[in-house]
Amino acid sequence: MDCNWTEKVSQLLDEELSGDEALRVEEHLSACSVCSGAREDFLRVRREIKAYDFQLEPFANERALRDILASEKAPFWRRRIAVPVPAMATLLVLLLALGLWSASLRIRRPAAEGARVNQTTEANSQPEPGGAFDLSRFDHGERAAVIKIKREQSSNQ
Amino acid sequence: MNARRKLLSLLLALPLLMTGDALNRAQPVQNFVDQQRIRFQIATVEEDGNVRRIVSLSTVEGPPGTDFDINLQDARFKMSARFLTDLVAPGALKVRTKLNTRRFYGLSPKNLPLYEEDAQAETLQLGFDEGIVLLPFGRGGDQRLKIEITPVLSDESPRLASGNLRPLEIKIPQQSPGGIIQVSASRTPHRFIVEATLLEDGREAAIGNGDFLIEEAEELILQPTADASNELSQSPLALKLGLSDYLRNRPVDNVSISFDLFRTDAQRNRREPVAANWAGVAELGSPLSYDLDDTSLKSSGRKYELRLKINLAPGEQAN
Repeated sequence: MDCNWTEKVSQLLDEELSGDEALRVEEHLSACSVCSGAREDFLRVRREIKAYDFQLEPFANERALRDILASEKAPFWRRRIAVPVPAMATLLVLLLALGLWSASLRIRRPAAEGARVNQTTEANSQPEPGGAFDLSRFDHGERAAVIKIKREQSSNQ
Repeated sequence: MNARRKLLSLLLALPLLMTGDALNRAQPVQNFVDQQRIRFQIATVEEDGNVRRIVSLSTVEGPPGTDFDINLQDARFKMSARFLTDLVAPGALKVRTKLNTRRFYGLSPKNLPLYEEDAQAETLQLGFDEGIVLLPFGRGGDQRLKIEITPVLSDESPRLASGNLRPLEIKIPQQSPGGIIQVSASRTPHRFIVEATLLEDGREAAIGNGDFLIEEAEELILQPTADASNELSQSPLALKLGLSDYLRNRPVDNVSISFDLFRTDAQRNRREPVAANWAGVAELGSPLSYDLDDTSLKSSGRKYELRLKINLAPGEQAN
């Protein structure tokens, strides 16, 4: 059995009808057993829903929370990382050593007067072959000299 | 003898009197080759305060006129020292040193190597109670490297039993570490007689003779003869000549020459260049001619030619 007023009954229960329309549906309910039965069914379902104890499962709860947090991810420049203290200390020492080495390179390369010259002290930067005897310890940039001596003065010059 | 002949004789004698100085310079040139051999002891010494350590030892021994080279080189520094020696009198050596150094200075902005170079030349008169100290890095610093060169008269006979001259000897009792110091020696003739003749329109108008040492430029005044023009007599030419490389070239050896020629003006005390940086290779005993037509002498309207004849000095041996 069916009645075209069933939808109106549902709207009446949801208080979605105007006053005149609600009166007409009330009159119809008193005469139509189908609709009055439907009203009873609607009211029973509503009562059961209100009486139901709504509890989410723990797993589902956690997943829902994670999804919410993920949607609120911080931007890249506000993110944080955790570094162990020994690793951080090593990193700082390496940075300091790099800075000192860079500074020493700048000190070793003074510009010569009148010309831009990169002076180097590393023997292996030479284009010529090196010898086993290191002469650099004698070299203070002085001009070579030839002198005449008396024999016995040889070791005193 | 009439006045004209007297004047001619005087004019002919005048150049000889004026070239007397050049001839006198040739007097010390004597043959010492057969007298004695000379040994040069070359010791490289490292000094640290009062501590001396011998780095290397070498000896070079040969007849008078033996030359030797000492080269020192490591990765940053290079020195080439040349010693030309002559026995100018018994017990007296003339040592001409030519010292070239090159020191690595750094890199250019384009990463090319830059060097600091130096060249020195010095002549020392040396007795056999004296020596030479070569300081490649100068005199300063507590740590010094010295190369001590001591000439001594050798006990060895200058000639072998066969009668031939005893050859050069180089001995190295102690080699330098890494071969950084190298010693080499050679002997070529050092003393030459140069005869210079200036032809004016085909006639001998000026002559000059002189004794020359190799690698030592000397000046000759070309003395005008009786046939010289007035212009040449009033302004004689001066020849500054240097002999450099001696080239073995059998049957006759060669020597390379370079010269400048000037016209002197005694009254104005000035010189006018006639030829600058002219050069050539002369065959010993043969004249080498230079046409002077394209020089400032051309303005005189005469034709000039310079002839040079070079011979070994007496006592000097090609072999």
